[in-house]
Amino acid sequence: MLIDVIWPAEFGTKKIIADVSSKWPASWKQQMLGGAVATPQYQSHFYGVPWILDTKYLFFNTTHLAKAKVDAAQLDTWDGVLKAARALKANGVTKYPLIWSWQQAEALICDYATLLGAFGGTFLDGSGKPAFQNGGGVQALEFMHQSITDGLSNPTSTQSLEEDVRRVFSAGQASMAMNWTYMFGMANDPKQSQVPGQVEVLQTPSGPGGRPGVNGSMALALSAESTNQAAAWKYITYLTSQPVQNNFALSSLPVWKSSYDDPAVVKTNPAVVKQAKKQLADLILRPQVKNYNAISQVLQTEIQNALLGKKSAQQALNDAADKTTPLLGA
Amino acid sequence: MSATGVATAPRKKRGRRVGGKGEARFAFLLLLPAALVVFGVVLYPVARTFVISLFDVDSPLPGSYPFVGLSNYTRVFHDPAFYGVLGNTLYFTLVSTGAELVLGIAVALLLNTPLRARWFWRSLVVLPWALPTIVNGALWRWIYNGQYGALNGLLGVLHVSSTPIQWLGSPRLALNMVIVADVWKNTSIVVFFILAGLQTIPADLYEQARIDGANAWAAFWRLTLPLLAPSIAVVLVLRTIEAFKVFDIIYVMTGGGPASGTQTVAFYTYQQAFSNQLFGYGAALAYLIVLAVFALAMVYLRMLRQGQMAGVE
Repeated sequence: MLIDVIWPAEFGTKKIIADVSSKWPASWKQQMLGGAVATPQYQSHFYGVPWILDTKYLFFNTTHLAKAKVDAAQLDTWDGVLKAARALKANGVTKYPLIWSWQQAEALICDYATLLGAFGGTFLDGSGKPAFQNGGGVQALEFMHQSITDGLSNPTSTQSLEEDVRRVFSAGQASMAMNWTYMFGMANDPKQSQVPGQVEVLQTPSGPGGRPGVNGSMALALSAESTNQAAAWKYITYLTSQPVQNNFALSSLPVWKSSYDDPAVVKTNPAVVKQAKKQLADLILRPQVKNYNAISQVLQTEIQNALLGKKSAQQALNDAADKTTPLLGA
Repeated sequence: MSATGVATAPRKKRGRRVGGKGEARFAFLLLLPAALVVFGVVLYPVARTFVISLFDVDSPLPGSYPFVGLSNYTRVFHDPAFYGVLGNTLYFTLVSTGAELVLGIAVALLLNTPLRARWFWRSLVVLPWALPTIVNGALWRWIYNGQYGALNGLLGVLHVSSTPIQWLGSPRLALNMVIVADVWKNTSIVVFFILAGLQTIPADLYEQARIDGANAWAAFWRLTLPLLAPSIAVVLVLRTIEAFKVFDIIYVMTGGGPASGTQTVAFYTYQQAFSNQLFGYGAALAYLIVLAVFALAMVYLRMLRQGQMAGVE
């Protein structure tokens, strides 16, 4: 079965999926990208093999930047992104230069995770207690809220999912946006976009804490109840093998480090592969805990309370910490 | 053979009589498939849900889970999030049902007048109701979009507002806008019920009322509305039950946001049971919905019976 990165902890501890640590060749840990290795892992155990690697990148409209005389190199940092957004707004290029998927959904946590990492925060501390209400976690949320207050982020962001982001960006109504890999192809497709050929992609910008991209990968896992585990494992190792992944690189980027230097893989999507090679090695995980969804739902509500100005960032995250502490202890 | 034949013949004769054993058996056999289906898809799941609600089931896998008695139920009443979603649900139910009733009566009265191409207008009313809720939700999500939505576009064209309004951007406004989408779809069913009720009112009653000096307004309040009472009662309770269970339009339009402002009891139950895998707790929540709906259904049956008795009198 194919599972998202948020599930190994819960499915593994509940024995819905099989622990395949003993089947995992040690060499894979070196041969695969760091983000890939972390995807099916929970407490040093492996519950699958990574497949379909993804993270969010920063997309920008080259024509918009040129109009506002903004150098794309400026987008290397989050400070630079805000500066660029101010220039784009001041020059009347876009009313709201940034659009995000900040609807009350998992998409919101993905964007928050990226910013939390950039600002040097962590979701949990070493003992597994909430830590997002300290330092980088609060700064990330303040950054998000301030960008709305300053009119740099589209207020529709709080009601948008990734597809809404793609539509607004592809209509030329936003100059910069965070989204998954798939947006690159669609935003450059003249049939689906009003800005084909004007879309470039970058690694997620850096902040004081670095530039980790959110781990949005998946893994192929074995059902713990399966009576054909050997056959299923054989099929999984076939699907995730380097030659097969290289063949399908256009649809899904390989988990193997050396694939990113393979000219056949690079030519499938040169712009994305160049960024992916760097970004997929540096990913931030959402909390790997067995009741992640309940924690995510609390965070979604409280982050939205801050984004809508109903609470300060600090208050919202303090409240989220209070509500998630018993869930984490459970 | 002959013994069988002798034994069968009288049975056949008895079978033709109303209420005979043969007929009863035949009726039983005819009803059996439907009864099995009802048992399989209604009674068994309802009973099973109750059993699950008494255990701390936190995985989809079969197995033995700790028996916790009624603690999943008491947990519901100690869950602060539950009161928030209950408030949203009651608000949604009250406002959507009220609006649908008022609008439904108004449209039904209009469609009951000798309009030109009345069949066309009546068919038109069916359309929103014929749309699957998921499609309706997606449609309104687009209409309300703060960036490219048709509603802001329309307000701009009409010079009502040039600043885009974030229709789904704040909790209470979002809940009201979801209600509008629900009313747009479900007013149709109210119109059908009321229109059917209006058709049963003899025209000569209005004639008599007019002779007695009643104007249109008095005729509506003193004649139409009381005679529509049974239809109103039925549709009111049906819509109340449906509104209380609202899930799909919320799922598509807002996902329960912003800031949980549109989360309803059914949506919360879904999240607890399926996203969080708290099947025991989810089952308790579901059972409370069933009890609430059952209570409403009882009210419905009582009102219906009273309406019928009033009709007989």
